[in-house]
Amino acid sequence: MSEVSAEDQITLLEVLDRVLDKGVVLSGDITLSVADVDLVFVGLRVLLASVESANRMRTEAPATLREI
Amino acid sequence: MIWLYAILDYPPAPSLAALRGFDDRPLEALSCGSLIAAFTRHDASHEPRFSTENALKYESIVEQLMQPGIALLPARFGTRLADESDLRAALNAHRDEFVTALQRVRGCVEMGIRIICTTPSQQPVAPESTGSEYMAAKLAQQRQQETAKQRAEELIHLLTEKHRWPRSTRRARTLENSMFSSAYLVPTAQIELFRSAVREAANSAGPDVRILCTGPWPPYHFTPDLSREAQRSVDESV
Repeated sequence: MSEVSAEDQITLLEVLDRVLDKGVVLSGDITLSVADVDLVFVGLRVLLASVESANRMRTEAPATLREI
Repeated sequence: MIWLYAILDYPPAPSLAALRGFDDRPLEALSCGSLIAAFTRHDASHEPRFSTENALKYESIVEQLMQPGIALLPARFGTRLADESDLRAALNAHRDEFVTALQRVRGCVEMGIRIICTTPSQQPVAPESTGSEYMAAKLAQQRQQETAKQRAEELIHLLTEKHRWPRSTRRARTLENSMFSSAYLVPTAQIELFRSAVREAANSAGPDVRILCTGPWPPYHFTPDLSREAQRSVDESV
């Protein structure tokens, strides 16, 4: 389970969903805390585009950003 | 190389030059008719790279530009053009589209919704089951998940219909693991109303559906796509 808080995970996911037009995959298990009451365990693997796109963005030079 | 952050219809105060973009570069403005493009200049060899930190940084830069009374169309991270001439050409090519979009987003923010169905479908079927038991359990899980998905879609539909908040069709999609994501354009004055509506929907959704509401965001999902022009500009510059 990630040590990053659920709120941070969701915030990051939401930011990436917006600032990137496409091409990001987040995976991992997180615990969602909704209204500080419910703890919901979710195996989070949110596919927003292709794995290849995400990997390219993580590893390649800035020229790859043309493909975003 | 020019990195575009947003297209505005009025210069924000303080001036753009007081704001900083990547690498602490001052934000510059290019005026093109009624449109203003906010950008920074970077050497091709020292451009920002994609990273989580830079994605968050990008969002904070765009949010600096979000000011009351100013309509703003945020660019996506990595929208880069060779020079000001190409930027001007891109603005001219999409002028009507941008003007219409700016009118649409004026006074509004984007609000995000994620619906997570926590049906037992994510629980493994008991390994000691017989073949037919296994198939029956899988089918039951599938049905439960479909029911939850349908309920979530109904909630989204109700939210849209009742309050007439435009929903992004460009990115409204069904994601894996029973997650749904939608973006709505909501007048700033109705942010609390939107949250209340989401809360109401969440309360009526049942225990196996969670609704997360995020925002306010710049209206990313309600901005015309500049990626083709940016791609062509960069391609032709190398």
